[in-house]
Amino acid sequence: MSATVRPRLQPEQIGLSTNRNGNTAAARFRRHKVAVASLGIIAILGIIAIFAPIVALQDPYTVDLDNIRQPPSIAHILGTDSAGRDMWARMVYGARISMSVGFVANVISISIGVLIGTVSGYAGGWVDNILMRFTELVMNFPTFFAILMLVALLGPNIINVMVVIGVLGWEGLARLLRAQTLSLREQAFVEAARCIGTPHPQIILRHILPNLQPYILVAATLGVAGTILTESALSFLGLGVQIPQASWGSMLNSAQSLTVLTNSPWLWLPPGVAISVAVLAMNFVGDGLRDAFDPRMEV
Amino acid sequence: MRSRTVHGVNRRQFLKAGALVGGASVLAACAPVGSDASPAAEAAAAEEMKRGNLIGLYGGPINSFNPLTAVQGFQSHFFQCVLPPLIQENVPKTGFVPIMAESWEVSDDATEYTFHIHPDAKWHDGANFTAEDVLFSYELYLNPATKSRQVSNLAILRGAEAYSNEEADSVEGITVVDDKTIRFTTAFATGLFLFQAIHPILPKHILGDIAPDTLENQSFFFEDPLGSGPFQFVEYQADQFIRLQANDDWHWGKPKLNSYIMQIIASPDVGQIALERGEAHFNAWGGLNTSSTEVVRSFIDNPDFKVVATTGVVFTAYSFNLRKSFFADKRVRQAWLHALDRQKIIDVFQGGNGTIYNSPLIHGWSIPDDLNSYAYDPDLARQLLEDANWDFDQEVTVNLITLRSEEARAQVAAEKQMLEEAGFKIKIEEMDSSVWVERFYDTHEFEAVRVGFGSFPDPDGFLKFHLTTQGRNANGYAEAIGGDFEEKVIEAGQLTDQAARQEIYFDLQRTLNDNPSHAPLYVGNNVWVFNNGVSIPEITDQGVVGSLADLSNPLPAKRDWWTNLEGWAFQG
Repeated sequence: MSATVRPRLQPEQIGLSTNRNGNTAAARFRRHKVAVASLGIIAILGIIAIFAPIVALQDPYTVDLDNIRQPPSIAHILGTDSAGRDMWARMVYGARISMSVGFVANVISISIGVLIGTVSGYAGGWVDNILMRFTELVMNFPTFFAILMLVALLGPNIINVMVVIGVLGWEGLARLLRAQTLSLREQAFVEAARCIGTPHPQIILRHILPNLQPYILVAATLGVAGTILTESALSFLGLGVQIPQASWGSMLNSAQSLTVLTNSPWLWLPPGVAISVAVLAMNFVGDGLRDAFDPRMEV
Repeated sequence: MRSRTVHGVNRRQFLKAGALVGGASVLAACAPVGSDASPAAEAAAAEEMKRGNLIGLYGGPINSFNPLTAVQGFQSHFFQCVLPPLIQENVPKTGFVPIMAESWEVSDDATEYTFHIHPDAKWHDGANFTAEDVLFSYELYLNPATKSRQVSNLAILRGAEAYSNEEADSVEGITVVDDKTIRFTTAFATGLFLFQAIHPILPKHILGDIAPDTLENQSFFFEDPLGSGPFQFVEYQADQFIRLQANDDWHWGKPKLNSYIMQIIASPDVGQIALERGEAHFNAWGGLNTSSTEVVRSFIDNPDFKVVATTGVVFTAYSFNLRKSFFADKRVRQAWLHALDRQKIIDVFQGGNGTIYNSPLIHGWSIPDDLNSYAYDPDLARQLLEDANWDFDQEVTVNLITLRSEEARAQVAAEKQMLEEAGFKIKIEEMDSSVWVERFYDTHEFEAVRVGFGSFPDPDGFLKFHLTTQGRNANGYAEAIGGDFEEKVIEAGQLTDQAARQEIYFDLQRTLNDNPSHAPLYVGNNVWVFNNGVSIPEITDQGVVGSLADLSNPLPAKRDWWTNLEGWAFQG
């Protein structure tokens, strides 16, 4: 007989997820109308990003020096930028950059957070001590300035931005997961797995991690919103994407000029609105998920 | 209760009354003297008001007041006002004018330069300004322990190298003749030493006892510099302003202004608002976004301002690493120049405000009139690439110091597109300035760069620094093109006959034009916006720009009005 008995913890045992009457997390989420609408918005943004070459209608990089800073028209529905490039096309491709930075950086930070959080909580003792002190050390960095410095040193390009944001954004999740793991590892089913000799990595993967899923999901959703904002801030400061790429933050950079701010609102309004909408939508979805997984919320 | 109030004063009432009387006394003491002021004081106050306080805008903080390590234009302004040099270039850049010196002589063989310090020259604390101060300062400039940036420039002095290498206790080529006379001797005949007599002089009686290697951390350079110039330092509020007061004992005559405030602003937009509201009088250094056509036009159209354009000294250019085999054929670099529509770039991104050059030496007197003007011709560019057997899959990486403005990034994107239309495959790589400098100047790990280059006061400086093995040799140019290029550069630097120098530079210009080390884009003109209330001796009505079109005809090299700040005044 295999040693990998998997008595998955029932949701109510840890106070999460579903209840017996079919009052599922999904049902609870669906009750959160704003979150559902936000999920729709994120889906639309995702589709726009994936199908950018079709949606953009024009090339986002083609410079047209005879048509710079043209207001919105039939030919350019959101006008043109300082190099005569189509703003709509750049917005669409900007969605690609902003969303992919949001997701990739988040995958990196969640991977690190999950690894450190679960190992720390499960192993306890000196391993926990070392990992948590390290977490606190990283937590004490002024994150944005550390990101600014690292991106400046490594060179501003999209890969560096993703990695740096990801590498410096996992501490909160690690601490949260450690706390949950500490409680989970004392549960009977984990004890049972240990008793029949299941290797520790397997216990973490098969028994602990599945039960941390709701926390990770909520943290990931909220994290993407934060990451999009961080990328926008970096690009706004000129430390984001490489020329001639566009991200919403770098497009917003032109709003630093008083004349653009007052005379050419089409240069900064669309990326500003896009950032706000994407971040708000992510936050609403995160809120919705948190409520959905909260057992105290009844349908 | 009542009787207590009438007949006695309790402790609390006594203290209250005391506090009132005390406060009133203090207020009275602080109040303006008013009609009791003496007529002399009133006259002085009136004169001060009439002389006025000039406010110039500066677009960033000052690094320090240390001339040994200075690199900023902002610092140059400060030194010109507070810590001036022996001499400086005159306004049309045709010669030099005395500042702390009263006069100077150059020996017939152009190796001895004798400066006579102005007899009335004094430090702001009243101490005499002497030749010892000059000697002290130049020894600091030649001492690498001070982190001086002038060590290599001053290496033309006899014995300079031995002193810098700590093989000698003094510089053989600097002699204090008497209290007010100092003589510099160069290692070889050169007409260029006067360009090295423009460094600020520091007070020996204040800094003389400090070890050179600890000098850069002295509060003198951050909080309380003492100078000898037409304005004296009063206070510095970090990142806000520097207040200077006229030095009425200035040996060339009392400044017409009462004070000069160097106002530091957070962004050029703030500068625009400050000028429009009359809270500042002119854009001194980066205080206004003059590359924006809209901004410049708004001031040209405003009768409260006069706008003046002058030729700049920084040229924006691509620079090639000739160590890369794909740049070996000069036709590739010629194609690069033909691929760029430089006039269009100036018109669109610089508001028409720039001048095209076709070699990296932008000193008017050194440019012959038969240089190839590299007209925009993408077809010719492609043809040249084909003739040179260019591999059209070859990607060329262009290193840039990180651009913070989307407008600047848009310009680079436009240039990239022009180059790609001609057949180049361009990758733009932005990096931190320290990384950029290391790759360009030290390790030479680059293919091409795009940056603004300083032009140096004389072609000799640029050539030696950038293009010969004596300098940083970033491009590997002299070795790559071979011939006697480097010998000619050295020869021109040692000649004193300006006509003969010009002939050699004409030759070098033709070489650099035909076999390019750089692809110069333009020299941006400086645009100055002055409040109409300010009267500046050098500005005439002919110099004032009446329309955007006038910006393309800048005044030749009249960029240094601020060097004569003591001549500025308020009208009426």
